[in-house]
Amino acid sequence: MKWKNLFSSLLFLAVGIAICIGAWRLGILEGHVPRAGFMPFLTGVLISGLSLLLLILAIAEPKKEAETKETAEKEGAFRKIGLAIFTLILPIFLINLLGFPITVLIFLFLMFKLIERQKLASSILSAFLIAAGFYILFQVLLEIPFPRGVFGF
Amino acid sequence: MVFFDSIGLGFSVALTPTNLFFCFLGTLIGTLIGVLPGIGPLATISLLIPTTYYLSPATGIIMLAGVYFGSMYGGSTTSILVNVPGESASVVTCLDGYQMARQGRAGPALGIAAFGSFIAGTLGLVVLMLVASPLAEFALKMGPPEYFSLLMLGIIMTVYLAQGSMIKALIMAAIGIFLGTIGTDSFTGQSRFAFGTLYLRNGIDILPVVMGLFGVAEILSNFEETGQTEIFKTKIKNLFPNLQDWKDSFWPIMRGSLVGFLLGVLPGGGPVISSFASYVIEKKVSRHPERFGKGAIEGVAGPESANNSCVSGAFIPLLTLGIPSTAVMAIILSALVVHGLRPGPLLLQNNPDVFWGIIASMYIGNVMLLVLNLPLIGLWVQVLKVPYRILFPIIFALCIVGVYTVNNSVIDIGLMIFFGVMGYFLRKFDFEAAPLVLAFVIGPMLEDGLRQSLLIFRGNILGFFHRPISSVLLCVSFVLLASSIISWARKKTRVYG
Repeated sequence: MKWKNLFSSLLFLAVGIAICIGAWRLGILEGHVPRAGFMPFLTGVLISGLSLLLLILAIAEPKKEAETKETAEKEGAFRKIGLAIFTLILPIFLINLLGFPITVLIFLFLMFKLIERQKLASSILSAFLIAAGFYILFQVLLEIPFPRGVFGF
Repeated sequence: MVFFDSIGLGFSVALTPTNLFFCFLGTLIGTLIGVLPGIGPLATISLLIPTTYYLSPATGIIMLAGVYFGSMYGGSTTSILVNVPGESASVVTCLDGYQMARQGRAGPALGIAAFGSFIAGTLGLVVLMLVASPLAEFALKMGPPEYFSLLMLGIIMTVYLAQGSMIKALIMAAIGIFLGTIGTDSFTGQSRFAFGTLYLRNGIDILPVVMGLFGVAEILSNFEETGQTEIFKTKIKNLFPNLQDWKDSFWPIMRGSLVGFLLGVLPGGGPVISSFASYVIEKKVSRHPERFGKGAIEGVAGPESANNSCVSGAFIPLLTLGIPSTAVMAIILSALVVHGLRPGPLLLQNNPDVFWGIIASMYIGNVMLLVLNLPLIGLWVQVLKVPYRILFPIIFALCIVGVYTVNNSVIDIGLMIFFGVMGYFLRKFDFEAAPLVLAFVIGPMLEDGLRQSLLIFRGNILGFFHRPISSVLLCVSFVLLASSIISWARKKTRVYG
């Protein structure tokens, strides 16, 4: 808990200061008229002040027993999280190039194969069936204008 | 007479075949996601907003409202049968509901949860119908200073009722307000924190924020859960509670309805807090508090009633003042705005069909849920058997589709992933995302109110205290904040010795 609070307070302190600087450049007050930077500046001050308070409390926090080591299960979870984020990013680059159904197919296949480590045939079949369902529901029935990509669908 | 005419208008809207169908669809989807652990009403409603573009405003909101209160019904099924809350408002139902199931009383537990929810939802709606109109008329007399003070009270209440650290909740609220300021300033036309990008000049859309913080972050967090869910194998019989069960549950349902409704109206309250509050009250007033946690029916009846009446209560500030009291209400507010409606006192004047149609449909939805829930228990049990490893890629894919369809922009997908990762780490570091979302939606209104008020008062901040409503609201905010600080300081003094 102590290191968590130390880390998060320092991060938010930096964010708060950055907001204050950005808001200052926009202008805060002109006479009694608030300018564009007025509200962001107030929030920046609040974030910085509260983060500083959290930092002081984290430093003063009594030391507890050493935190338990990450178990193998946790490490497995981190692997899944990393792969999930990687797989989530892929559609950003693929959707305009390959179109909606192919992108969803690749996305689901990677989710099943990489994250859940299912068998190849089962991953392909599951991904295909769900992607086909998505295509029929969103592109054919609801007529949502998704990019068509190089394959034309 | 006007009141009955309005209700008549509401039912004439809600009872059209289209609205009945979408009300049914919403309650069905709501129950489904309530049953399924890992996806809550917030992410689902966000996901469904783009589908409402093809519907009339009233129909779209009727469906979304159905999802919200449907999820409250559905959540109890998982809590009782699996000891895992289907959604967070049913956490407390696990305590006694699961114990009842273990004692072979799953039927009465499920039954009283459904009947309690129905009674509480109905009572909440009656009060909603009675107070909505006078409150909307009163709200018309409020100017920017009063609105600012009310919104300020909303944010303070959210922080006050936050479950974790108050400092962290305040930081989250401040981040939310800041995110709401990104984009073109409505007063000066200046671009704020857009970093020269056209996308950010239009401001950040709420959907990538919510889908990321609640949808993606939820799944990422679930990867760390290693426990397997196991449905308690029991014959579900006697869904209709017996006379003794009714006697034991009557007052808990009444108290739960009241507590839930009041906490629904208050900003930051929400179904989670109301169900916990109801459980604590029931345990305190009980002559046999030792029975709680061992299968007391009061421990199911009270909280399940509270979380349902809370949903009815939460619609009051949204529909009459235009102020969302929970993160889900913030999403429904954005859905109303997408349809060109401005929630608040003028909604009742300009769109009475939408206003009363939504309220009437909630009553119909409650009846549907009662009819739907009990006979379909078997189906929901089967749904619970769908493995999570199949579900989560579908939820991820739905998140991508939902976010993409808002602006047909891949930047929204990127933004959702950013907020998803941020939400995951916020959970790891014990920061709650709900104050951020609420402040993100309230933020622009708060800023407008503050800046307009300062113009009216010629920069004199004390002007807020020269207006009675505004000064009362601000004083309440200060008292709440001060009491939180004092109790927090006492706690810290004890910890640091």
